[in-house]
Amino acid sequence: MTQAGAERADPGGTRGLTDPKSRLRLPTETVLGIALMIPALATIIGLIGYPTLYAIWISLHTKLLAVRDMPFVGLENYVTVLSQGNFWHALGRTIYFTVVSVAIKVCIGMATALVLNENWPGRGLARAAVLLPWALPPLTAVVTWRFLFNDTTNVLNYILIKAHLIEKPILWLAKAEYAMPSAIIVGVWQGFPFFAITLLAGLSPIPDNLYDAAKVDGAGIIHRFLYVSLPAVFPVLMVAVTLSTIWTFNQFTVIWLLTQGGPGEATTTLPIAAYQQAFVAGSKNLSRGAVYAVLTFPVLVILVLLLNHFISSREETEA
Amino acid sequence: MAEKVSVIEMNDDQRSAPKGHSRRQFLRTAAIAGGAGLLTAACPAQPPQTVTVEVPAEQMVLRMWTTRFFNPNINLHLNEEAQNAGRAIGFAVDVQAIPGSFQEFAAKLSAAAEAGTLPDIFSPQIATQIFMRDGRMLPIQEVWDEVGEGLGGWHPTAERNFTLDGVGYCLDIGFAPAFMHIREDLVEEAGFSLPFSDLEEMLAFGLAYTNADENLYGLGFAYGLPDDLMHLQPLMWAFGGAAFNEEGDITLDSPENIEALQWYTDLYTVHEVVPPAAVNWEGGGNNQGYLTGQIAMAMNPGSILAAVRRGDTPIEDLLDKTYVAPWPQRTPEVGPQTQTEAGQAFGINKESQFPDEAQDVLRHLWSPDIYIKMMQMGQSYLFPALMGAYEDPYFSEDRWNKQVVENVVPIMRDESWPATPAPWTSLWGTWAGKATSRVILDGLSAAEAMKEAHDIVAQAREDFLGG
Repeated sequence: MTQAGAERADPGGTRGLTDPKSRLRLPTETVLGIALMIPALATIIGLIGYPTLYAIWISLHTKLLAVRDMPFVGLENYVTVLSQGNFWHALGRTIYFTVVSVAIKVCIGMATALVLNENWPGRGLARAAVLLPWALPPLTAVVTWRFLFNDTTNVLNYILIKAHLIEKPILWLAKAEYAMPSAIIVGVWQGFPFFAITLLAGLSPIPDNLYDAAKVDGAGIIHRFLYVSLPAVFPVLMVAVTLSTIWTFNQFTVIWLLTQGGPGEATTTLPIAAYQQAFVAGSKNLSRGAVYAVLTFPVLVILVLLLNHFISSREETEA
Repeated sequence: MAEKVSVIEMNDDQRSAPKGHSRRQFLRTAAIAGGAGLLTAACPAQPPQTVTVEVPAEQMVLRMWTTRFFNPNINLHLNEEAQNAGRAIGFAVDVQAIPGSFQEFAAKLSAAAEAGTLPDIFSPQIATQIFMRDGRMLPIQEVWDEVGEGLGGWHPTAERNFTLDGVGYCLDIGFAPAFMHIREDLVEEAGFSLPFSDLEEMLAFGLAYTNADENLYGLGFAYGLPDDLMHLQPLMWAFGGAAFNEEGDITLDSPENIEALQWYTDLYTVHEVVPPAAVNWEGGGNNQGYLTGQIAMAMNPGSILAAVRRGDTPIEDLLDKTYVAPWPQRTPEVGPQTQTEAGQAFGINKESQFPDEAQDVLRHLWSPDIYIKMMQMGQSYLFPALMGAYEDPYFSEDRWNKQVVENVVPIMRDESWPATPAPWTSLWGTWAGKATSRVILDGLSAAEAMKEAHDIVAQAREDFLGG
């Protein structure tokens, strides 16, 4: 049968659906879509996939800084790291640092957002000023904080003593019990504007008449917050918490510049421990540093999944 | 009792209803804040950290990497003279002075080596032993000999660290030996005289001078990771111990070393003659302590002396009040020793396309006049690796340099001493800070901490030697 004859016999083109060649042919839009995605996919694979796979690869070898040879050792580095207390201690500190930091950032960020959402003179300036800690380069911010904490300049101690909040100078960065709180203070100072601005964006669209209606129903300020503001910003809050949890868990700059993980190991979180294993301690073992990084990944995935599950279950409840 | 308020659903109109300031206003404010942040970011807190030379496209370029020296004048001089050397041979020399620690620089070198992008000339720093042994450095024996002959021969420490099997691989710029910076005026006021006869007399001064309520401390030694080796290792030597023996065996848990660690940590925990913050000082902590008057002495390379010379201190006439000396001896039988960093040395990438031109640049930089000027630029941070340079008046007549040259340079040892430098002896360096902090913060005994340090270094050696 000729092609013309076939078309005559099957005017609706239904035969084409069973033709193997036609089934393999993708619609033009799909092909174009895939073609347009290729650069982005290549970038993602190049910038994220390759380093991740390389980290896993070297974690299965013994790779020392600057050394050419890289013998394969299988899971030996994982066994070594997991059997040492250092990893677990660092994991504990990381979770502590993350939970406390994010909780405080949420509280301060929410309070700031509520204040900035009110109408008062100078609100625009305040909104801009709140962003500054977040906009400052981390190096500048942390070095400034280190100056404030420093035991020779004693700026912070001087202020606190003059304000009668403490009697004797505190060794902010030299005592194990103060070093982690100091790192948390700096991290919170840098990170709360993200919550403030994000939550402000969630609060801004809430119309005044909702609050007015709530007032008519007899709701006080706390109830207006709990039953009007909070439900409206909850989805935004959860996204912000998820992102901030990941960022805080991976926080390196603030802690490294402030304490380098010390005193002793008081502020050695997982990213700091990974860096120390790879570039500072012992034989500069990049492989063991990579093990720390690789082991961080499932912990983060679990955290994110838990958060997502929490968000989903809440959305289902609300629905 | 307050009534329960139900959640009120919003419709689309309500969601888009304007409230207070408009979104545009908010975005404008945010943009202004962002701009302010960018402006802040654009204002560097420090001088430019990388010196990069603009090179005409058609000109041949030699690339040169160095860490940034504590004294920026050295980098400026190095850059200027590298350009001069390049001009003489029709090349541009792109000198990058990279900030950061030695470890960070080694990480950058390591990445460049793997990517095949090592520059023509570079300072291999703590990776020197590895790069020399695995064939990444070009042997430059001829240049090594020429330079040595031109300025009275190489210092033995340079030969130990930058030659392999009798062949020179890197030209050493100079040493940064650690020595005591001591406030002579305060020591005399307390009824003591310099130099201290032994460690116990130094401690006696510390006890006499320290006034914790006034934040004044007699001694200013570091107990954290930075500067750890330069404090504990000379002390171990003074107690008759060492990290290695001549065969390269690890001897960290020897009784002498344990005794040294005990004595050192007692200064902090028992005698309390050092600032409590010393347990977590960053690299410049003791510098700052000395320059602000918090501590009456500090053990450090000459970066403190250089800062004093520049007047980076609120204390009037601090230079005149400063006396420099090595660690006091433990007993007359065991004289003082001090540690020096192996030095910043420059070699040539074996894969360089321009090995001859790169050697010409090194010849120029190490020619006598330019080399001595570089030492002078160091303002007592650098001491020559070439013996003839010590005859220059800057080292033979300047009061403080003379003290260092006469009392410190002859007794300085590198961190591998007495073992032959090896990759695992030059990369191993953080055990000392860990050992001191384990005693001070975690309550380990000196013996336990030294055993732990011993195991860390043994593990490092095992990593290198493959078990």
